[in-house]
Amino acid sequence: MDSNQQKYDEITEQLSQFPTFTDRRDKETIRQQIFAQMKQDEPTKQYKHRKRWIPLASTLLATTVLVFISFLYYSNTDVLKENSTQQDAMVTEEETLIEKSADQENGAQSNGNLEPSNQMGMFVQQTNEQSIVIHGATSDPQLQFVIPVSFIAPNDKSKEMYYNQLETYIQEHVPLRSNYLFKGISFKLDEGNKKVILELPKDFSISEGSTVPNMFEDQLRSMFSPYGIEKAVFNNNEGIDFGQFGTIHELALNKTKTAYKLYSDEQNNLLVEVPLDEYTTIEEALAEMQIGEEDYNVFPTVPGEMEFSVVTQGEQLDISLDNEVTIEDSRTGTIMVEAILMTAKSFGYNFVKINNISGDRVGYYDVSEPLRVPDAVNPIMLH
Amino acid sequence: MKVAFDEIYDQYHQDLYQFIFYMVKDKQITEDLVQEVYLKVLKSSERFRGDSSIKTWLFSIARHVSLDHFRRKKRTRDRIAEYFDWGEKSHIIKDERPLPEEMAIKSEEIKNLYTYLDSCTVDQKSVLILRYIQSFSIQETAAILNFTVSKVKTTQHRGLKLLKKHIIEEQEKGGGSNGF
Repeated sequence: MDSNQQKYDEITEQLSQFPTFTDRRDKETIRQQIFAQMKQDEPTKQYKHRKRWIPLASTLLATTVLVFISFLYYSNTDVLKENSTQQDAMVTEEETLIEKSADQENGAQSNGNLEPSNQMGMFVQQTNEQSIVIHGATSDPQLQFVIPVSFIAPNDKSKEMYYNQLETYIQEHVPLRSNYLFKGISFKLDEGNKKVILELPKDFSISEGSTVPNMFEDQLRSMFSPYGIEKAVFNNNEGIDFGQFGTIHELALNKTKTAYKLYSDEQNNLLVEVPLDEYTTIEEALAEMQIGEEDYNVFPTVPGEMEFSVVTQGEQLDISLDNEVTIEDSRTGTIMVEAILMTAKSFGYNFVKINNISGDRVGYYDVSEPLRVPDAVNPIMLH
Repeated sequence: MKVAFDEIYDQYHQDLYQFIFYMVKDKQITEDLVQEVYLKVLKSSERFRGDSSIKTWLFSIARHVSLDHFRRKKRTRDRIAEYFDWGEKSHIIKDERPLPEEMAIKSEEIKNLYTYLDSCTVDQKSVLILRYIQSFSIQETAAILNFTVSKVKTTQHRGLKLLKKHIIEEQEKGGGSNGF
């Protein structure tokens, strides 16, 4: 036996001799603590699950092509799962509609409206002077993952106006049973000083456990860091009760490296953010995207069997596939490319080139040339 | 499928406690996180589809709750680091807490190993705890962590390699103190 193996055997043997730690509380104590907590959470739960659809006719009418594309395209997809014949039929129908929509968008583009990416409009590559992107955020019902939502809105109103209607927009367009965390809060952007000021309603508190404060912070970061905002300031004398972090008056909103996976339930298919440690490499991020969290309806966006290597060339990320993986479903390929682009963006890249893939297309993307990272994800059009 | 408190407690409670304890190394935090796991499990048990075993599902939630704890901890550390400039190494802060009494009576090698575990990534630590402290199979570990079997093997190897590196460094220093 070589000395290396011998050393490993010693280590594993010592690990197996680690002591057993047992819970000092008895079963009944634990039961009572848990059920007391559940009871305490109950009113919140009822509130959370209450459906609050307030369709405003004007917004509904104005919610056009891109919304249709976003949700229709992503809807009923079984990403990285097996497809059924029924789904295939649905896809064909959807794809026809998408292509029609994309054509319409291209027409709109020449009239000075949106500039959709790669003829699809799944992402917003960049907007022109007539449009702005309002970065909203929500979460999965269990408050584990931030789901960014980008409202593309006419540039004739201030961002604050849109942010102060955010709850309505999210309720109307994102059918998720998630509680809106910024209820009663009004936002004021001070982009010059890289801060957003939050006017809190009286007695506002998010001290429920630690999950809500974390999600509150993550959503704020997702919403405002794309504008270069670096901190959120709470404009009241008392600050905000931030659970285990105590009372705070401001929050740093530093950009974080992020892997994008897919949230998929009966009504939604949306990219979600998985925050990564600042020391994570892009290669590790891509490997993370091969892992799903199916208990939370979160699925991988990169096939598990795909092997790859990466090279950085200035602001461009080159990803070379080291084995041949067939991506049968064009939607799966599209989602994979989009998730990779967004992940690469969070690492500071502006372009991504995917090499060694059979053919020039992955999903709807022409990968023969470097792809530019998008401005926003999960877009929804407002008029 | 509805999962009852008694069922989980009777079959898995001590293993669950043990896993989370070795992840976070603090009894009070372990109690809180175990409670969080129960809450998540009981609240979402109707959604449990039975695709995986209850054990796998439970431990994957425990892992998620532990990761969430580390993220919170990192945020707190980042906030503190904003006030105290510890430079690039600020993420490596030596754990000054005394060893728990169950560990304090163990040999010097085991005590050191317990300390070196903190130098592993969360994934490496999860794999080493499940595989060697809790004797889970590679397949069970893969299912809990949502890894492929080959990823478990790679992560396990990297973790062991890191522990070996610390042990050799300690031997070269000729010391036996807890720390790295």
